Amino acid sequence: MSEPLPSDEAAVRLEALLFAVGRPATPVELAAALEVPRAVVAEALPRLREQLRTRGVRIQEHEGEWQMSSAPEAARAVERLAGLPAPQRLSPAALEALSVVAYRRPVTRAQVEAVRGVDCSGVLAGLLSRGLIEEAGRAESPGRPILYTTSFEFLRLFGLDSLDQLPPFPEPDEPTV
Amino acid sequence: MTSPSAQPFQVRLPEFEGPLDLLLQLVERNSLPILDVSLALVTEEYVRRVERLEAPPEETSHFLTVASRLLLLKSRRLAPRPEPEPYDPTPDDLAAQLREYQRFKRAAAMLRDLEGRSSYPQLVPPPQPARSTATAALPPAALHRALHRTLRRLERDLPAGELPPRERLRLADAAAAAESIMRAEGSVGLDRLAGPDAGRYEIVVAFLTVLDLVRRRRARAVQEGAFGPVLLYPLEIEAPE
Repeated sequence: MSEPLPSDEAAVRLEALLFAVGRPATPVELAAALEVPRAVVAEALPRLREQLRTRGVRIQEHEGEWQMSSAPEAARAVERLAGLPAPQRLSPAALEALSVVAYRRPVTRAQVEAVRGVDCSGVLAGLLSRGLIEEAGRAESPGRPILYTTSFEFLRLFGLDSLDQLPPFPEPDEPTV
Repeated sequence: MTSPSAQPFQVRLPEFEGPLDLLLQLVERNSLPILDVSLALVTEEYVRRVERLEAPPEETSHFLTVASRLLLLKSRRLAPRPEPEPYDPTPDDLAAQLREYQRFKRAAAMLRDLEGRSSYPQLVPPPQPARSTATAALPPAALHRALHRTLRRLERDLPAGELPPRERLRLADAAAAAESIMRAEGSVGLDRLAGPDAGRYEIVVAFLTVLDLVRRRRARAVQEGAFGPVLLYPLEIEAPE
């Protein structure tokens, strides 16, 4: 078995790449830069992410793009050192709408409104302008309404490695008799 | 209306003959497939009746009501029914919808606990603006003009031979002049105070004027961005120390 690059060495170089490039990168780009088959990168990335879970830098993945970022537990310290304002807290309405988008993605505005029972156009516009949600094509239903999904920025604000890390969707209450 | 309505309007179609109301009833009871009924023919026939002045006005309005009802029924059959939204849990009872909403409310509360525990990507400082404007696209003609302007200024600042006695500028005069421009125009720029062909001496006086006006709280100096023009705005003294 003559593998061109042992996979732990690939992981080391991957870590270096993700650190240096400072932006989300796809496995295809990373494999091209490392001059290894894409499968090596695809296999090494999740492993590297696991290894880094106990470290100060983490790897976040959103829709096939991977980026190195700081550990969420250090958020306040990073903000103090870099002179960043703490992110503005979302309003209860915005957070509810965001949770519908996060757990039901992709959704139309009508679907968000069906859950919340009120008009959500303003709230969704606010989430869009903060970059926490983004458009994800259109539904094949009449009127072809816009579909929304969560963005990379959503993962950053909530310190999630990926959407798989969302807390499990709460079970329904027992119907009260 | 010369001719009184001879007889009530009768629909004559291959599928149906009779009064329009009966047609509507049959269609609404699904006894007659609306897709087989040519509403265009019905309408054409009625329009001819109107043109022959056989239709009393109250009948015409009744026709409009019935015919539009038929049109609506037909268009509903022709157009596909909007399908329910994919995930819609068909909350036929309000309680089910409320329970669903409660789940999202609790999901929102979980997100609230995570909110602000941000993962920051590498915070690369934004690129610094160029220290020099020379990187901007500069047409050769502009460069040429700038060179000549500078040379003229140098000739005057460094005259060959003996220095002529220079006109003395008084700071108080310059400050008063600046204040009168501010009063008239609302603001004045540093470059305006120095004048178009200012030499080093004029620029120094203009700059001292700015400092003096700011120090005496006669003006507030504003500069929008690095290398932007310095503008003075009048500042009325409210409470002298």
